[in-house]
Amino acid sequence: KTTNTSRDGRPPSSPLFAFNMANPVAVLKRNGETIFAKVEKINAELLILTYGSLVAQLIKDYEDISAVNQQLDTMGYNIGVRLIDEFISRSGQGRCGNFKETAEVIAKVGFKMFLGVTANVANWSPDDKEFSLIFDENPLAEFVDLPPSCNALFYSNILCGVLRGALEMVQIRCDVKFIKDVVRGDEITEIRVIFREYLHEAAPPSDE
Amino acid sequence: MIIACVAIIGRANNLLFIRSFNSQVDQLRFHFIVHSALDIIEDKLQEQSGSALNYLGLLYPTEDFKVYGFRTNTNAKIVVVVDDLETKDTDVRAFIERMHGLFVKAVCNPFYTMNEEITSNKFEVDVAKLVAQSSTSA
Repeated sequence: KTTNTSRDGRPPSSPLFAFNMANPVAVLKRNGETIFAKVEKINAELLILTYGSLVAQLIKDYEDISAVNQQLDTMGYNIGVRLIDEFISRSGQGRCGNFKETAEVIAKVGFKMFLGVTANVANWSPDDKEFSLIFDENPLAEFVDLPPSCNALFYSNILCGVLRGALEMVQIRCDVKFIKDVVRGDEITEIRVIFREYLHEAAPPSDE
Repeated sequence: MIIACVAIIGRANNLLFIRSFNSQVDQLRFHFIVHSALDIIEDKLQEQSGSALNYLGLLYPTEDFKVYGFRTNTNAKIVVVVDDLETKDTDVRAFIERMHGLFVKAVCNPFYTMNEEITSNKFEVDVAKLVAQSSTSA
C-alpha cells in the first residue's frame, strides 16, 4: 500500500493512489468507472443536440470546412486547458510515470469521466512517441449523417483540441488529430496523439 | 403484411419523404394515394378535436391497398400504404411506431434543415431495413 504524501494535497484516506506503470490497465478502467458513477450527469441528447447545432452553425458561418475544423480544435483547446484541473481534482490522479501511462489514463479515466466511453490505446509507434485512441462509440456523433458537401469535416474535432489543451497544461506538447471517423464512413473512430516535447517553462495559455 | 409505400409529410403538408417498395405499381399512383390520404387525415383530426390521438388507424381502403396514418406531436404525418388485405392493425401500429423512431433520429441530425426533404442516406437504409423486417409474406 502506498502512503499518500501531503505533497499531492490528497487526504490520506483518499481511495485513489499514486499510479505507476505496474498498475495494470484494468485498475485504471475500474477507477474510470468509479469516478463516472460519482460525477453529475446531464441528458446526453441535450449535449448531442447542442454540439450538433454548434457544428452546423460553424459551417454556415465559416463556409470553409478546414476553417471549421480549425475552429473546433481551438474551441477544444480552450476547454482542455480548463478541463484538466477538473479532471485531476476529481480523479485524484497523480503524476504519470511515462507517456504510455498518460495514454491509458486518458483513454480509460479521462474519456470515461467526461463522455462515459472508454477508448483503446493502440498503434504505438516504434519510438513510443505516438499512439492512437480507438473508440467503439462516439456519443457526440450519435444522430449525425454527414452530407457529401461536408466530407472533409472532422465532426468531433473539438475532442482533439481538448486533448491538446489538457496535455499542454501538464507540460506535454502534442499534436492531436483525427485519422478515421465513423461519421465520415470509416469503420472506426481513431484519434492520433503525437508527442512533440516536454514543456519546461510555464507559459500562460493563449486564448486566441 | 406487405408494405407498399411509406411517406412522411410535413406540417405544411409538404412531402418530406416517400419511398415505394412495390415495383409493379407506378410511383405516381402512390403519390396520389398519399396525397388523398391527407384529406382524410384532416377530417379525422377535426373529428377528434377533444382528445387527440396520434395513431389514426385505417384511413381508407382502396381496391388493392389499405392506407394507415399517424400524426406526430409536431403535426408531421406518417402515411403507410399496405399491400395485403389481411393486415393486423397491431402490426401496422408497431411498424408506424418504429418509423416514428427513425424519423425522430433523422430530425436530430444537425445537418437536416427542418421541414425540408429528408436526404439522409442513413435514414433511407434504415427505412428499407425496417420495411424488410416488417414485411411478411402471407
